Amino acid sequence: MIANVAQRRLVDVRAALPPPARLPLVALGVMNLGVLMPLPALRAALTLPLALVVPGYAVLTAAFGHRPRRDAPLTLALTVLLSMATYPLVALALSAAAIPIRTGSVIVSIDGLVALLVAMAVLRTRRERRTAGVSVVPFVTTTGLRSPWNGARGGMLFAALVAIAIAALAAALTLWPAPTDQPYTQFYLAGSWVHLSTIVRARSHQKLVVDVGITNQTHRRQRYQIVPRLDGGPGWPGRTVTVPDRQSWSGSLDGDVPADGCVHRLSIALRVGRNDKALSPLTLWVRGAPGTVRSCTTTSRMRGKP
Amino acid sequence: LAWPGGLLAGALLIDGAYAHAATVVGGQMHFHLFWIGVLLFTVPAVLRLSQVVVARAERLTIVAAVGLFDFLPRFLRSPRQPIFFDELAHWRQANVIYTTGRLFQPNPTVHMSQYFPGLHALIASLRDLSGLPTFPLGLVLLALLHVIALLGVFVIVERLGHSAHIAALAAFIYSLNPSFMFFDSQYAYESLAIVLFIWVIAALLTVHDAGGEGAHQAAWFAVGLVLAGACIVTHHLSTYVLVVVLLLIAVVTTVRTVIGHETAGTALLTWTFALLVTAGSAAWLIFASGGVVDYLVQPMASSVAEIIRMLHHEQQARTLFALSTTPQYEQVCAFLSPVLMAVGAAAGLCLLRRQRRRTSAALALILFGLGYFPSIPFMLTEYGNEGARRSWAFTYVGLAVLIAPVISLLLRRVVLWHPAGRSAVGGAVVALLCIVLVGNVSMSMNELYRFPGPYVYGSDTRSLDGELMQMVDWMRTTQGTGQNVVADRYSGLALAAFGLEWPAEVSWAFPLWQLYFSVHLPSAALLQQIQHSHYRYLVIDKRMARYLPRIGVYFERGEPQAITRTTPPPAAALDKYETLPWVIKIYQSDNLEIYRFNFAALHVRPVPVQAGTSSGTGRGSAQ
Repeated sequence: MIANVAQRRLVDVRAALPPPARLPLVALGVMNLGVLMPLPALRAALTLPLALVVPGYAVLTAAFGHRPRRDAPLTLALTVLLSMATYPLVALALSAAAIPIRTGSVIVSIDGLVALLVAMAVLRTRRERRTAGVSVVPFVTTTGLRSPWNGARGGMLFAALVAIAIAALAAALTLWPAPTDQPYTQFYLAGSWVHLSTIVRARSHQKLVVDVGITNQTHRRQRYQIVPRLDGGPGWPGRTVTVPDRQSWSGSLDGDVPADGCVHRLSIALRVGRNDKALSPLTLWVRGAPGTVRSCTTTSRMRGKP
Repeated sequence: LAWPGGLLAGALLIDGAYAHAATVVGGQMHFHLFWIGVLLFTVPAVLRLSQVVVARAERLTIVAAVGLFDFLPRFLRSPRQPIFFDELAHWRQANVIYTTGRLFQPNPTVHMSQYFPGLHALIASLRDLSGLPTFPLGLVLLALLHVIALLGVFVIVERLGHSAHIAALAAFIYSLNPSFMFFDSQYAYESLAIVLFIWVIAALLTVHDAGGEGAHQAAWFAVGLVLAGACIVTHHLSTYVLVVVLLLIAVVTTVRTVIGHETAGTALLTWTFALLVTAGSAAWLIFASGGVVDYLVQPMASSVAEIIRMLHHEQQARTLFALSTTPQYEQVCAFLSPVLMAVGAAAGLCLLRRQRRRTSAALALILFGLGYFPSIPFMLTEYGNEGARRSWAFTYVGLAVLIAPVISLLLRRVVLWHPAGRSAVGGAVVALLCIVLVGNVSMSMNELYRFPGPYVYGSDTRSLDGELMQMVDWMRTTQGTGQNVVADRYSGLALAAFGLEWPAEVSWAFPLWQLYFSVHLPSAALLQQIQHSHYRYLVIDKRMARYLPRIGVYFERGEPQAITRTTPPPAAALDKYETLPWVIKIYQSDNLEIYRFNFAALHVRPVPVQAGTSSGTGRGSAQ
């Protein structure tokens, strides 16, 4: 009994929805399922073509009614363009309703719109049947010359031609030599020092430890010499490191800062390779711990608090 | 099989041209390879389109192939990331909208993109559905749009009562417009809007064409409104040009209704459509995009003022092809192109006088297309040349409508006079169209935009080298996105697009060039302005002191000595920060530096800096 009722309802629905109306709804269902695909390539391959066709097809169906469309290339072009026109308008509607553009909201709104348009198309078709009106087609073609480019065969031929061209280009791209960038080295403050925004305060009787990093983009293994220098202070020991191509190194430098309350510049230069090529130094500013008064400029003590 | 074979061979040769340009420095071989590749497809394709007995389906296929083929150079120029100025801005905009889920996000590079979110909303929505990243998705859409645009022109010309022969030739002529191969292939809002523009006109023409068939007219009326709505929210210029064209069609239709050549119903429908689109664009202008008037009117007014000054001999004209590295034959073709279009237009007007069946829309489109010729003098102005070039993407629709019937008639007449003459005339027509193609591409984009190659300072496209990209990546990774940064135009462009940072907008009210051009300290007022505007980073490209920028500006057109500068700023102007305690250098590469402002230390006087410790020893890579 229940099965019969369900079957009858299904038959009713199928009768109410003619095949051209069912088509976009089925495609919409497939598109919705496609969004859930775990494989990105499969998801894109399944969803994108449908996303570019279904909304536009629904608009066309609502506007022109259900009729076979003979001029396939132009109808397809208009369908895709109408789909492209639909998304911004739907996004605006979402924006006006203060709903963010997310996967869920886009799916629900496009589903709703397509369902609405299909319903309009069905109602339109019923009314036209009653009034003996006829649906119209967007493009009317006259019978033309015989050609291999006619009809579905022509479409397949064109698709094959484009596919061959893409494959040939893809193969050729791998054969050409890749252009190379000019060699360079990146030298930077590292660790928590990367966020340094003030003058560093040195603590008395403690060495100051500064973290730095190097990234080698010179297309070959490179030897680097890090040369720190504290103006008006004692010498800091440097370091020599070797970094393979496209690899990074990070480490620290340490040294003493005079306990004089003055602001000193700590410049950390980087010599690259054996030809003594040097990058401009990183520069940071260090205030010595309060202690013996030297002849440093006094304003730094009063107003130099970072 | 000539044109399919030409398509494959041409595509491979163009690919080779791009590979050659990317790996071999200097010479013009890449230009020659490129044009041989283009002509390998174009010549057989146009020859086939010129033939009278060809199936409509094949014509449509060739037109679609032309659309795809013309997208190939842009694709090969940079298949993995955006590089053109507008692309970078719109790519960022789409990414920000996708990330935030909100439209109308501000944009530091192209401010207007904030108010026209059509393209970005489309990309964000499709990203949500397909999971594809922004740029590959954009490339797929742009390739499709290229095809759809030409098919739209085909529909327009068929609706004007012409044959598929003329319609296909018109679509090809439209593809010759200077913007089609590169500018309207880039990831930017106009690339979508121009296709909507074409199809809105096609929709209105179908409404005209279907006079008396109420259902057909209503359907196309509705479709046209949907497309126009999308155009309004996508791009300002395309929308306003669309409004002008629609109103022009409405006026011509009304005049012809008065004469008795059109029905009152058609005029009423046309006015209703045109006024609805006008009202929509006006509403968008008033409620969503108020600043657009200044944005569009200012360069127009400046370029008109330039023309007036030139007429009074108060200003010299801009030198065409100054600093150009394009081959001589391209430049010759560029000068010949408007002349050939003028000859074609004159022949088209003569033909129009003889035609019995003239539609209102055809007359209006031709009138609009003739606007191409008054725009040519603007190529001689600094402010108007870009606008002139961009207008041709629109006016070429009218020119295609005007010139295509001439070619068709010529080919048919020649057969009547002498059957063997058709090949000669066909060949001559193809040669002339190829001259227009070469000339238009040459005048629209310089070599740096068209081809890859070695680093060139101050060129937008070729300034985006690995060193800059890695600096941007380091900045984003360590300092985060959305940071206020002071930078030159080229570093700022990359920081905004790839780092999602917020580079400062330089102007006379905020003259940040002081920081880079002068060996002296910036003024206290400027420092205060920087501090109060919460700028935290200063990015310096040391190549600034070695090279003049290729496009003439380090920041923007209003900067001191813009375009006219003959020597770069002194190196000391950039090195001075290494001895100032209110900036901390946190990053250094061969040419690029990032400083962090510490305005709390503005009045600190440090221990004197020892000689030989500042950046005199720093050497960058040669250009």
